[in-house]
Amino acid sequence: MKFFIAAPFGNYIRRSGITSVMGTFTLNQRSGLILSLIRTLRYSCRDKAWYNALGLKNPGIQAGLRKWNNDSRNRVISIAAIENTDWMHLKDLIPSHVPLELNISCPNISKFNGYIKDLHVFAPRNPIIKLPPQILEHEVNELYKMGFRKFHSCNTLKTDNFESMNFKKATEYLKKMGRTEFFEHVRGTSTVTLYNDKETWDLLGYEGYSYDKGGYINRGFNDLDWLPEPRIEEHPDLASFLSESPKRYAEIKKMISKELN
Amino acid sequence: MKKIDKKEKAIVIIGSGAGGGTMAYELTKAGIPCVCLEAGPYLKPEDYTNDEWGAFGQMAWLDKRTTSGTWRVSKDFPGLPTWLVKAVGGTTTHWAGATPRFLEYEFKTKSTYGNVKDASLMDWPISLDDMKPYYTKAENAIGSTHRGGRAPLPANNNYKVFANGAKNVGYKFYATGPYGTNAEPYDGRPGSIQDGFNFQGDKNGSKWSTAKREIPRALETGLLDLRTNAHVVKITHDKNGNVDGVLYMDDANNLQRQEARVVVVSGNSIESPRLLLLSESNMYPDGLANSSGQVGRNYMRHMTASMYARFEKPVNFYRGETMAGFCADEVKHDPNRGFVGGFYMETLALGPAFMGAFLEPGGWGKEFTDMMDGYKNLAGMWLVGEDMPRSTNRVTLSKTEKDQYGMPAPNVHFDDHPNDIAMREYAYEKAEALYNSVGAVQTWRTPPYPSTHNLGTNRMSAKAKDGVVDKWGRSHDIKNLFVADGSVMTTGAAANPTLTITALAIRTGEYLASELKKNNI
Repeated sequence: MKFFIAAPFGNYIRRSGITSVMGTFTLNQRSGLILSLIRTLRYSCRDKAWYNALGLKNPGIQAGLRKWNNDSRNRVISIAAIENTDWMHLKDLIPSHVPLELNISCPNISKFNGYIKDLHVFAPRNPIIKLPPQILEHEVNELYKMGFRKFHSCNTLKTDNFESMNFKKATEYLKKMGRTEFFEHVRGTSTVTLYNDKETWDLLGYEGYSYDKGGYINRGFNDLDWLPEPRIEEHPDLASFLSESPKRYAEIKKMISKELN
Repeated sequence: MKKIDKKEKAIVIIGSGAGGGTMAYELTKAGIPCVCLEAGPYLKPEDYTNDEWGAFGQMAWLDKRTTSGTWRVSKDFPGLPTWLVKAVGGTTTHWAGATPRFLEYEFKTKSTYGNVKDASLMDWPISLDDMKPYYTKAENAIGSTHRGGRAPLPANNNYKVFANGAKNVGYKFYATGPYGTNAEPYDGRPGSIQDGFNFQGDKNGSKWSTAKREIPRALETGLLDLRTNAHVVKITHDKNGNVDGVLYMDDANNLQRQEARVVVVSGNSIESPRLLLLSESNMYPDGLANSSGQVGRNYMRHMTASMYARFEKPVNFYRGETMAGFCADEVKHDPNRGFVGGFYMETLALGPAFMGAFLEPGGWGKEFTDMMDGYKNLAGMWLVGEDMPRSTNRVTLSKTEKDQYGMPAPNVHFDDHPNDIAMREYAYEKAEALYNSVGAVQTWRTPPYPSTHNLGTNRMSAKAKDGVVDKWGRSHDIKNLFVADGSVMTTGAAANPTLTITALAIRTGEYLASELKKNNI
C-alpha cells in the first residue's frame, strides 16, 4: 500500500515513505482577484468540506517546476487547466519524468466532456486523476478508456453553508443533489453499513442471531399484549369461499350488499 | 453416493430446487438412477447463518444478469432482477413457507377474465381436479400446517397485529398458514423454535426444503449421482434432434460432458429458458424446444408490494416465523375492484439490515429514519397477487454482457401491466386500512424487491404453437426433454408458487418414471 498527502497539504507536509502532492498549479501565473485572496483555499468546519475555486491566486506551473527541481523531486505535481487548451501546453512544458496528478476536480467545471477532451495526451505518463465528488460513472469509464488507471477521489465540493442550515433547508439542499452517482454511493454505503451494525441493532432493539439462543419460542415471539389474542385456525367457510366460481362469488357479494342497504 | 459414468446415457436433472430436487426423489424412489447437476454448493444447516447480508452473500444467485423495462426493480437493483438461491435445494433453501393452492379458475384465466389488453392470458392444459392429488402429495411432503390434520403455528407478534387488523376491517379468512414449517415434529423434522430466519436457511430444520428432505432421501436410495458446483452451459442433441448430453463446468472450472437419455431442466424461470436459448444449433437456431418462439416469453414475477406500519407500542415482528400469517379475503377475482385476478396478504418481517436496504430503495430523510428508529414497533405484510403474462416480458440473451464462463448473461425485461399497477394500488390501500384500524402511527408503501417468485418463460400449453411444454412438462418439440420448475406455469395465479412447482414436479416425475419403465423414451 502506498500513501499520499494530497495538495494543498502536500506543499507543507513531508513524511518519509509517504508521497506528497504539491500544487495544484495552473498553466499561467494568476494574480487572483481581491475576493479570491480573502477566500483563499481552506477547510470550513461549518461546511465540512474544502473550499476551492479555480481563479484563486496561483504561482503557475513554471514556478511549480522550479520548486520541484530545487527540493521536491520525490513529490507529485498536481496540475489543472483553466481552459481546455491548457492541457496541451502543460504537456509540452512538463518533462515526462515528472510524476503528475491531473486535477479535474474543480467544482466550477460545467462542461465536463469538453474539459477532459484533450486529457488523453497525458495517458502514457500514467498520472493520478483527481476526481470531483460529483463524477458520474460513465465519465470515469471514459477516463479509464483513455488509459488512466490511478484515481484520487477528493471531497472538494462547492458547497453552501450546510451546517448552518436548519433541518428542513439541509434536507432540501440534499434533495437538490438528486440521485447522483456520488450521492447514491454515500447514501447506499452508509445505509447498509449503519443498519448492518450490531451497535445499531442494540439501539433499535433488534436481537439478531437467535438460533444459538434457542430461537424466540421462549423469548417473547408472542409477548405482544396490547391487542386481543387472534384466531390461528382457518375460518370454517374458507374452503367454500375459495372454491366458489367468480360468477357465483359476485352474485353472493351483490346479495350481501343489497341486504346491507 | 452412486457414481454414474459420464459416457453412460443417464437421466440428467439440471437443478435441485423445488422442481429438480423433487424430480430426483420421484425418479430414484421409482428405482431409476439419475445424475443431478447443481450449480451451487451443498450447504447444510450448520453452514446457514442468522445474518441477512452474510446469508445473502453465501447463497444468493449473483451471476451476471441485466434488466430492462419499466419495472422499478430495474432502476433500484439493475443487476439483481431476482433473489434466488444457488445451492443444493435451490430457492427452497430460503423460501418463506406459504403454501396456498391455485384456485380452480386460476387454471382458466383466459376463460374467466376474458380478453385483457396487452396480456397473453391462456388456460392451462390441466385443471385443479388434475392437480388435487398432487397438491395433497406436495402438502404432505412439505408438511403444510392446517392441512392433512397438521397443527397450525401459534400466533407470533406480527400475526397478532395483522389478524386483529384483518378482523377490524371485516376480513374473515385469516390464519397462521398454510405454512411449510412444522408447528410440531413431523416427518423427521422438529417443530419450529420461532427463530425467525427462514430467508437465511432454517438452521433448526423445521422448514421443508429439498435440501432437507428430497435430496437426502434420493441419496439414501443409492441411485442419485449429485454433482455440486456443476454449472450447465449447454444441452446437446443428436442428428435426430433428440437431446443426448449436457456440457457443464465442474468445480475446478473444467468443461465436462455427461451423456444423457433424458434431460430435465429445473433451473428456474431465468436460467431454464436461458439454457434452452444457449443450446441453439444449426438444427435449432432459435434454441431448444423453441419452435413456438415462446422460450423466455411471458415472464411473470407476481404483483408484489409490502406494507410496513409503525405503532406506538412494541411489536418485535422479527421474532418468530417470518411469513406465518395469511389472509385470503382479497384473492377472489372481482373485476369491480378495477382489475382482474386477486391477491393474498401475508405477514413479513425483515431485520434492520434488509429493512434499511429495502424499505425504500434509495430512501433517506426524516420519514425514512422515523420508520427505522421505530424498528421495534413495526409490523409488516407482503402483498402478492396474480400478474398479467405478456409475451414482451421476457428473458433473452444479452448481446454485450457475459457471465463468469463467458456465456451471454440473461437479460430480464419486465414492464408492469396496468392491471398489476391497479392491483398494487388497491392492495396498498387495503393494507393501510388494515394497519390503521389497529392504530398505526405511520405506514410505508414499500415497492417490489428483486423477484422471489419467477414464473412463466417455458409455458405449458395444449398446443405446440402456443407454448414450450405439454401438460406433463415435456417439451412439445423434443420428446426426451422435460422442464420441471416455475417456468412451466401458463399463468401465475395469486398463490406463492413453491407448492404448485412441487406438485407439478411430482406429477412430471411420476409420468417420466412410468414412461421410462414402459420404454417409451
